[in-house]
Amino acid sequence: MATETPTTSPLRFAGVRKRFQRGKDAVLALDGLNLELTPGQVTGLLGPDGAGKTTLIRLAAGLLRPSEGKVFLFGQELSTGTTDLQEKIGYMPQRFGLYEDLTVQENLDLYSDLQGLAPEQARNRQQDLLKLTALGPFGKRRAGALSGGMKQKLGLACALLRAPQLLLLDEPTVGVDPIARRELWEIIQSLRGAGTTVLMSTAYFDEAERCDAIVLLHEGKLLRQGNPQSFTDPLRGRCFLVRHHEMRRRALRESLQQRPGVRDARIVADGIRVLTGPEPVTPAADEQWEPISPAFEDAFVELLGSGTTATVNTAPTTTTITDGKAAEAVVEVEGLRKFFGHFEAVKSSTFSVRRGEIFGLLGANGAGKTTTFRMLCGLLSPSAGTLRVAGVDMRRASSAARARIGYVAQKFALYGNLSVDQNLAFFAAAYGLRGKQRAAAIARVREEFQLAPYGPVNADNLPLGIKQRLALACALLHEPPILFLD
Amino acid sequence: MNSRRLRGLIRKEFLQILRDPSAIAIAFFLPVFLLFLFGYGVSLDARHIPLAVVVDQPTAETSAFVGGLQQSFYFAPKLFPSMQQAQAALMERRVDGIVWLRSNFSRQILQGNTASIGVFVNGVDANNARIAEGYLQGVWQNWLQQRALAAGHPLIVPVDGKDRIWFNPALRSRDYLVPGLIAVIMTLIGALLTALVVAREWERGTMEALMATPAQMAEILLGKLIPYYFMGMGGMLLSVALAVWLFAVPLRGSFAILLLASTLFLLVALGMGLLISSVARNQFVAGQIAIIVTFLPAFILSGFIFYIPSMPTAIQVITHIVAARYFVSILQTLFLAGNVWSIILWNSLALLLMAIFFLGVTLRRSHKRLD
Amino acid sequence: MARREFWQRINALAAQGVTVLITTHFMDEAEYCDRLVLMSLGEILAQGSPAELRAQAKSPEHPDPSMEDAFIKLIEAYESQIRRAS
Repeated sequence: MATETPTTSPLRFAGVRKRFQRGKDAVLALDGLNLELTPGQVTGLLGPDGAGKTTLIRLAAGLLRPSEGKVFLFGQELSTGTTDLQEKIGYMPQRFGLYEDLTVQENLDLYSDLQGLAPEQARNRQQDLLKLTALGPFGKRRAGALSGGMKQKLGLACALLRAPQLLLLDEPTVGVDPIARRELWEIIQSLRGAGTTVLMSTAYFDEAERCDAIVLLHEGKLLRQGNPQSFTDPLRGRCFLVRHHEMRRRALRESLQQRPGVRDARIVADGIRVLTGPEPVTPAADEQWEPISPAFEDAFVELLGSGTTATVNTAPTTTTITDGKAAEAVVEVEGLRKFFGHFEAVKSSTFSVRRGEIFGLLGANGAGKTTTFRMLCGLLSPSAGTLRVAGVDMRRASSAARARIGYVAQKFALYGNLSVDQNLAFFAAAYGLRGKQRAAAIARVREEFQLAPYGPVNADNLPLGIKQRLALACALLHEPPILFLD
Repeated sequence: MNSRRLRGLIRKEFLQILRDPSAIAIAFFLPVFLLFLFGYGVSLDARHIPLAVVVDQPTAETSAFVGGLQQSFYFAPKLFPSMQQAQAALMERRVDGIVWLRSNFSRQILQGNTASIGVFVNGVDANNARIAEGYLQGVWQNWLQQRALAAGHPLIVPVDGKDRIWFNPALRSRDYLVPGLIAVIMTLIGALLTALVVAREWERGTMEALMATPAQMAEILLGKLIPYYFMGMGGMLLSVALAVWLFAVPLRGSFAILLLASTLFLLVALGMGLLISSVARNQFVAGQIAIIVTFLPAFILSGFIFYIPSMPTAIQVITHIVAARYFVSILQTLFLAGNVWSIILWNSLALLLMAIFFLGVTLRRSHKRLD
Repeated sequence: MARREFWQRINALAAQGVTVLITTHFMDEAEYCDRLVLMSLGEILAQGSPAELRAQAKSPEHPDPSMEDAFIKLIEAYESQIRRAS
């Protein structure tokens, strides 16, 4: 008969505060956090950017010391016996923390030694993990030459070498393509059976729903903890799928978002997903409202707000750049190819993009998206094929076309040690805007992107969301008719 | 301390060194390059200094003096018809100095056995200028003396100096530059390379992952110290071998003492490198700091090139905190003079104290934490 | 959160007639696009509206695949076909 023994929690936070000194200001990353994990569960850690997720995980891994309060691992206070306790945990940092110049096997060997595994034990464990992660055939490959998903799997394997009792993962699936993401999840799920307690932060709402428990952080405080149902159940009867016969999804979304009583409206596969307030909302004419079951994202929005309560100056939502027939093609690609040496990175691609369209490029890591993108922006020259952007042949006059495009890179290319205003002034100058024109352009984006309050703040010290706004603002200073977002 | 963990860390470090061309470059190519540069190229001796000679009124006496200059090993005199042309040559750096024998030269000589000559040296390169001036003085005195002897009555000079040069009789600057260079090379490997590789671990996020493992801080530090100790000693042995066999610099002291003193100095350099990387966690800043606080002082303030007693007093005081000063002193003694215990012991003691200080501070400052 | 605000702005720009090209890993974001191309190993596997892409991955077991399902299915099918060919 299985007896219920009172187990000590693998991880407990008691009144933990964590302050950081950032220049002259002290930032409170965690503010009096109390938290306890249930053994053997997968707990998802969610929250907006800057909520304190990474700080929480680093505190649990013993990499940071709390300013106030205590962190307990398996009932023992962390600051007293860090190294012993670290034998019980596996930790995977947000950034790939392995040696890129060592091979997969050499990294595994190093971490086996660091975890104190005997050679025999290490070999068996490594075999199991190589099988689990399907990295077996890549043992001799340098870690730096692995794809993003494979790197994450190797990182996970290294964290799992000693079969940790507590596994701490900081956004293990971010920037990973869907296939690798699914594989990572299969590995994490398989740990449940082994009795490992997992704490993982994530930016994906669908991953939250697959966790046993969710910890929702906001501004360094615990907003709510519970299983996924406890988050979504209160929203029953307030979620709808809305369809419209004529309106395009984007326009429909805008109109719904601005309707009183609607908390959130977002585009999904079959229509617009709407979360209403407690009061029922009456559908407009020609709209079909179908009740659906709430998802975690709804709960997230309900608890934290949609983040953009009517802050965006949208153009009249009824603009009818409809069905494309009227709109001309602004990007035309035909038989586009790119070779790097003998390697064909892009194989004879043909597509076109019409004015006012949002056009997505999807693909796994290394599929050729970025290469295609760089050719479209005139940063790389194609090996073969035709490429016209805004009516200009990119092979002949790419600089002429470049003046008509805006480009925002994944890692925003801002000057971190310049202020918001200085960044704007620099980019305006870089786009050749002068005098009154420049002043007008800067004033326009400052207003449109609500950057005025941040004028003197250095870009490095901005919250992520504001940084993103600034990056967009910089790319839109010269009012390009085409915008590239990588 | 766990030997398996330490072994794993050391093996990792060696694998990285083997695969990182920049580490090999700093540890082996740079020393060889510096040795060749100082062994063959740079010489602080003045030899064949191009010299303009202007003779206002050629006589038997002037040609005797110019002949003396021509025979000198140190000068390559060239006659110029006028002072103006000689000055132009000096401006264009075609010559490094001018000797001007005025029209009254012969008359003065014949009257009173002595005369004055005009000497102009290009002071842009102060070091060279001083040497050229000194040599000219010597040649002039020498010539006057010989003339006096030939005339049968000795020249009255206040002090009759008789020089005897010990330890480096040929006065080859190479013989003291090359041993001193070993200190510079070991600074590069010990401090600069170590600071860079630790900063790289912070930069790439590998340090964060390392710190979440059960490895102790002492193991992580030793995992860096040991491999770079061997790299540094390798660089030292390479330099000594080149010095002795290629540049024929004598090694008069004991090799064992050389190894011991090198170990002490390397520990100081490694301690400084590790300390720098615990302050600056990115490669660029760590590299800058390492060059400014370790490499440049080792070059300028160690007595390797510039003679410490001839520095201004304030600077002389500062040289006492430059570890390379003590090591250069040991090196120059061991190579050129032999086992001079009074020098070796005191300087070794200074190195030992500095090694304890830097390694101690590093160990105290390093925590297995990010904040 | 930042992504939500970001998309709201992108939508507004598109409504003003700005053409937007975007790469993303977030499959739910793919739904915001008017049209998509799906690439693998340097080749375009499929293009069309989100609904058209999803329809291409429909099967008896998966009558209503999500964009992520479609992505995985189309890419895996293509890559295994390449592997067989080589």
